[in-house]
Amino acid sequence: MAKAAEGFLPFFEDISFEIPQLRQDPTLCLRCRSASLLCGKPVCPILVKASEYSRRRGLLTGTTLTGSSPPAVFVGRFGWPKVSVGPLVTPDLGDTLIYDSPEQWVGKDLQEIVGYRTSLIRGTSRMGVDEANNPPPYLEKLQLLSISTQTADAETTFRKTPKFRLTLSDETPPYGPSAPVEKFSLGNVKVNQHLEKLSSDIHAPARTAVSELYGTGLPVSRIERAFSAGVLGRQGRRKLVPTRWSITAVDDMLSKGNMEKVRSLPELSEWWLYSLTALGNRWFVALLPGAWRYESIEAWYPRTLWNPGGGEVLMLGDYEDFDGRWRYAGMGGCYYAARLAVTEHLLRIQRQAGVVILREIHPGQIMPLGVWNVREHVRAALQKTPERLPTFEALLARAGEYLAIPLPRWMRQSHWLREWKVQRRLEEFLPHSA
Amino acid sequence: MGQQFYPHEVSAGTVNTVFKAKVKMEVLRELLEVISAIVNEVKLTVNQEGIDVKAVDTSHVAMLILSLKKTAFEEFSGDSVEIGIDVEKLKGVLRLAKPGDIIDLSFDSAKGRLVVSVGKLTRHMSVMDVAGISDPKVPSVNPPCKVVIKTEELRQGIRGSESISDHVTLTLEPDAFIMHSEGENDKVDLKIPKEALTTLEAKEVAKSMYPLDFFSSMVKSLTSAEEVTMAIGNAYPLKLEFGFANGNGDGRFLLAPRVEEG
Repeated sequence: MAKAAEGFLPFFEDISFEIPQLRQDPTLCLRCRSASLLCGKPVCPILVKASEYSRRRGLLTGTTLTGSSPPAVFVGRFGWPKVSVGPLVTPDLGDTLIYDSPEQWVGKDLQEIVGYRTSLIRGTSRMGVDEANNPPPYLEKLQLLSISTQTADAETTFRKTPKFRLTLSDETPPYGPSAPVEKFSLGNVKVNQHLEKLSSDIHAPARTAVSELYGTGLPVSRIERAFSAGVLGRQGRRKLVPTRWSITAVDDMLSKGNMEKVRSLPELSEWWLYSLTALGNRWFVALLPGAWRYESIEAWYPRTLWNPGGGEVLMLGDYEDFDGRWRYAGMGGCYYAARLAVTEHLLRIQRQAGVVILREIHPGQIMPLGVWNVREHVRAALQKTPERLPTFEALLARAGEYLAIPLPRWMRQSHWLREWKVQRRLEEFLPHSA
Repeated sequence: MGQQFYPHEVSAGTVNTVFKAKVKMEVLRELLEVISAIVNEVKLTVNQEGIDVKAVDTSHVAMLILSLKKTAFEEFSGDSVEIGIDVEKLKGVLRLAKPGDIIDLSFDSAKGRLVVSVGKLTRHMSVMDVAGISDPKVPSVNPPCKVVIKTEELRQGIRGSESISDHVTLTLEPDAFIMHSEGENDKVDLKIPKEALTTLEAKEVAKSMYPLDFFSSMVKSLTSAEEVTMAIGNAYPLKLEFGFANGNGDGRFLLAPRVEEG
């Protein structure tokens, strides 16, 4: 990972020439993360740079690719409601399932993960999002692919040779070159029975279908893929959903469902904490006594992806109280991905609690990997045995030891940690605890 | 005709209890307003004397303790029973009533249904499982200083604070009541001298800061009380006492203080 990181670092030197506004507002890139192009450029200069520095690999010299699809389907967001949809295919044969299974990437190093992704070529073809209801043969094949559980052989003819490029976004995992599809044919496909059942259920609303699939234990990335390919929902209301939107939509829906159940669980009465270091990120997850509430804070070191020019650590966070939140979180999909991970955990331990996630992004995080990075690493942290602490002060002491950013800075940023310190609770005035 | 029971509607070992009451729309509305200042779900404890409520919000910061005598009702009969209510749902039924309407309530624990009638309209409502609504422990809060103040004056102070800050500092001095709110750039003060207050008992200065959202919804929920009694100490819970339902109801809110940062 360290080696890969060094390869990327030089691009931070000159990014301030590309984005002069960063001098006035160092948080510009952090707030945008390529989503709104706040710098006014047609494409995100940071992503272009990150992609240029990535390992080049000649995938294809002609226009026909015989290989496989992990399976994976990608729906772009540009041009909505006419979006670009197609398979992700690789020249690699055999079982390539892991190339699009983020649930299995925890513990792998950056190079390995990027390796899976750079070999994926994205086929594209423009389609109206509503065509999901009456799919033409091409889309029908993609929808079939989206409900399959095993790698499928695939032959793809592109209209031109895909040029090497690594496409990056904050929400979706990276993928390699793309080119318009001329012809696409699939070998044998083995569909998942749950996905097949719900895709043929034309009365179940998409929300219900998503939650039922989650109940069967299907990996979230599979549910997101099917949701994105428009195979779920009532007949006539099915839609192709851009991949990056579908990921957060599913994380949001599923975590809201979990929250409903969490709210009636008994309250945790201790302080539990979990920590994990992975891919240049330091994770610190604290469970606070009391009712459900949640906060997630990211601290970006200078010379990390979304803090390229900054001379200081930038922090960004969002929170919600017991009743939840209605405005979209400023930090984006990460907020909802982590919320899914923590609500799952509360259901597992059968307790409600406050949850505060503190994440330090150290130099070394040089390319966006997608929100799976957040969801899966928070899940992994929560799989560990918690440190159980008797008091808030003990929790803060541990945070101070584990995290590199000084505690007062976290306390200034964190709504729920500050609130615990400042807002007294009525039980503190009960006779026995006075 | 014999009534049909379904096994899943009756928990094993419980005895079927029935409660019936008729109440003026205004009284029920006042009751629900003060409850919803604190919680969305509440357990009404019905006994021979009337109805009792103890509720604490999910963050354990605000509490309501009240009792409504049966004399507040036009009719009141039945057994002691606990009823779990979704407050917004019941408020929704109230919106179908006109001022002066009599609301008919009847609860049968075997069916787990609350039946609410307004005129010719009858609404059957499922109730909440009371086992899931915990009984809060009530702290014995006895703040040293006390003021009796017009509700309308408090409301004005709250309106003035709301755009400034998320919290409010209440101070009782021997000769005045002060409500102070401070934001990043602005501040606002409401100062009422002793002469303009019904009662002021403060031998020394007492000062505490409270979260404005709860303080505001508490005061705004009081629709008929012209005066309230507030007792405070230093960095100590607020006790706000009020009457309602034409003297047939007594309630008190407790609100935990905020301590200065730093």
